[in-house]
Amino acid sequence: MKLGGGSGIVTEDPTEENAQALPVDSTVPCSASPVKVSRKPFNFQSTVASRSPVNKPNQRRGHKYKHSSVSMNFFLEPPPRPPPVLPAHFPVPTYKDAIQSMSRDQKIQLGWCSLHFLIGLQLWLISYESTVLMAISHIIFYDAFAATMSVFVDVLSNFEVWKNSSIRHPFGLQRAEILAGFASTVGLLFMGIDIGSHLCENFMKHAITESAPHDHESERFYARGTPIVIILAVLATVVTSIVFKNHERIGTAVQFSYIRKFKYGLNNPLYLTTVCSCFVILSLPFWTSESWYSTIDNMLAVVIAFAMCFVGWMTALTLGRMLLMGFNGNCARMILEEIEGDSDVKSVEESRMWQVHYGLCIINIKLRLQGSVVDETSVRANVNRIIGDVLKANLGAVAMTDSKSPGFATSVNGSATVNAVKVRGRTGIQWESTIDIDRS
Amino acid sequence: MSESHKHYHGVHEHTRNSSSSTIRLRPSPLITSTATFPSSTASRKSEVTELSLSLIRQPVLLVQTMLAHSDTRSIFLFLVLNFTFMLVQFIYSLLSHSLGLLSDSIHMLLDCVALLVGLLASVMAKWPPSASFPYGLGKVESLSGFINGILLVGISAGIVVEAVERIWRPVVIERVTELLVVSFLGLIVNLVGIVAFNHGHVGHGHSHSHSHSHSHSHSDSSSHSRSTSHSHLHESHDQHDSQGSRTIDDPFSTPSMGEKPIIPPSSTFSCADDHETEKDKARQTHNENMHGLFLHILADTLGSVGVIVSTALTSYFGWPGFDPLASLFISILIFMSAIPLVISSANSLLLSLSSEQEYVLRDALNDVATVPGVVGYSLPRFWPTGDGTSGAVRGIIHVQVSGEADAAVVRQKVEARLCGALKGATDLFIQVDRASAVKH
Repeated sequence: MKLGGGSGIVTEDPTEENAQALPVDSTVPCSASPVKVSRKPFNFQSTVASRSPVNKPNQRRGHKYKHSSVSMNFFLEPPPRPPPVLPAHFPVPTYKDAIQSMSRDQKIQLGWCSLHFLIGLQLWLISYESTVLMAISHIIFYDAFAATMSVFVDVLSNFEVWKNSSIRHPFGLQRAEILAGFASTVGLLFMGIDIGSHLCENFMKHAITESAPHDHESERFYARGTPIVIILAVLATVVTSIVFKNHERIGTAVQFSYIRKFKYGLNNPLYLTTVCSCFVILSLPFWTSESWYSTIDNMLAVVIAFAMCFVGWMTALTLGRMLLMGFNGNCARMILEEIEGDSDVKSVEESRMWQVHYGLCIINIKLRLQGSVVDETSVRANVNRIIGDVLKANLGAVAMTDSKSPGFATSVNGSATVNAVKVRGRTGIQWESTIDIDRS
Repeated sequence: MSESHKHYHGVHEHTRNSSSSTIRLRPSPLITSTATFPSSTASRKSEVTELSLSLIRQPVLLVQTMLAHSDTRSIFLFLVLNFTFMLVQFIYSLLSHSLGLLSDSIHMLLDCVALLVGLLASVMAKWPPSASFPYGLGKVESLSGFINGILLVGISAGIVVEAVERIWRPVVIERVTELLVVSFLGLIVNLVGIVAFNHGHVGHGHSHSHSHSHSHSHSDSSSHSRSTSHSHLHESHDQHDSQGSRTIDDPFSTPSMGEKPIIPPSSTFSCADDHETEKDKARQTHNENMHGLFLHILADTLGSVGVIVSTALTSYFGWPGFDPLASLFISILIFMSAIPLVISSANSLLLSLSSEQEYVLRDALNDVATVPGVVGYSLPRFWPTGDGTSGAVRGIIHVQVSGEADAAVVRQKVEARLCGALKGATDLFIQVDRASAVKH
């Protein structure tokens, strides 16, 4: 190939090039007739252009009107723009990755969780006749599961895919935490109903047979070191609630306004009933006779079953609302009302507000603006201010404050559109607003 | 599945629905259709009670709603059958002082509760979107499937524990003939249930995965390629069906209908219609709620079979270990069948896209970046609608445009491109920012 020197016109003669390249290229397998081969339309073997890189712009191949001496610059080149940032893809960690990334503290926590679970198992094994002990062992299983889950969330949140948005997982994997919590809550509710039905059955059996088999229960109650196991169970519950704060989380879900102000997990009826009934069982020999054991046991079991159902139901409602992509309806109405009060806004065409997980709300609003108004930026800022005010005023209704979830404090993708309501220095909830302005 | 049968069903359903359209239940108002909202302190409970009150207030309407749709009808009728059987068993157990029958009837009561949950989910999925649930309650069927799956896993674990305990300490079964009669009757009731659920819902036979994939591919071919003579028939059926749901204002199967007052005609997309019918079919063939209920009934049926077989074997060989062995075997079967349900419903609730959807979406986003005037985009979040099998997505995106571009034009172009690329993209929210004004 020969380059036209300095004229800006590049001569190209493929046949000439091929003719030159062919003798060199001996790898062509079936060159029965050289003429035939040289007429091939494409020959990708030639690498002439790369061997002698063209540096001067006016010596490039092909016509470039811009640099041609005869043409004018009719078209302005668009200003250089940054290459579009492709949304990232994050791999989902495997078990191996997760285990390798665990810190020493996390391993200790996991060990404690399994110990907690074992204590519950032991309690369950010795709770042969006492329904209360069986119920408490169920609660301890639930506790152990919640604590284990919180360790897993801790471990997984070190991975990018957990808290960052990607195309595959638009909200990260944080909803998995909600899902696991919901599953365990359904389990709690089911266990509560199960114990309740068990009690009903016992009651009816007694009614049918009209003989109360109260004979050996006192021996069963305190056989095989029961008090020690009960004390261990109380200790495990207390330690776990202090370390993992799982009961505070349940407490916020329950939203029982009278006990909500208490601290250290005392706002949770489940925690209260567990610890209290343990103490009642332990103190039985000191204040009552053995013939009453069974009755007291049944009454306590009713209370515990009720507490389990109550907590399970309330938590399931809260988590289920998030899983169903719901939002607090009153908050949504207040936000819309205030936006419609804005003088620049003609109407709100459409709105979708929902809560993704503990710490993130998605708020989408389609607006129509008043006439030929206005600065869109200021409208958006105003709308964001309204959303922030309403959410701040009703934080208790929207957020479940969750200090364990670390995806919380960091904003998603570092974008300015992520906003957060801060309460007492702690991040309460974040929201993302998408305000679609229709000007047609 | 038989095609003609399905056609018949669809038409039949339509006529029934249109006749009962005047007494449709309308639980809550649309988000923005009214101008004034009651401004009150936000409380989540009032939302819930509002929903449940509307359920309780009109029981007659509720039953009529249930009978109007084929899926809810089959659940409702089976619930009635199950409840009647439970009641008879309960009364008989009280009269005959039979403890075994008593515990069996309580077990059946829990089954009825599970059926009731499924029934409520099926009804709620048809509610229109509200301020609390901006996308309607379409996910509630996935949630109910998830709950049923979790319960089945828990139940199977419970059965294993009990079986192990019984191998340890064999229990002598009394009143063998009575037990056999009751489990035989239960078997018949559950078989009726299985037949009813299979009848009403194709794709949930014994070979579940096979029939499902078959019907799915069928729905694809019928909605895309309209060349065969068969698909012509189908198309007319589709139109018929969607018109039917239009007149009855069924908000889940036709999502744009519920929002008719909100979305102006200019912003509804051409692809929405095609998508609706597809989604309708997907819902017909893959409904996690029905799947969960079906598995529940199947588990009960297996339990009855297990009791009959193990009792026969025990009386023949005289070894009491057959009963726990049968229980173990059945619980393993239940566990294995519940796991796929849990996984599929969890995937649907996590809002993650499938790999094909991810691929298409990446392509579409590349396309968006090439729209003239677009400088970049941020925060693309797209998630699947409904139960995630229909392939439709909803989404939000923030687009940055250069200073001189017309925001409205760019917005329309972006919307058109996204809608063209993503089959069945419904309510997109596109926020257009000036690149100069916004500091991202």
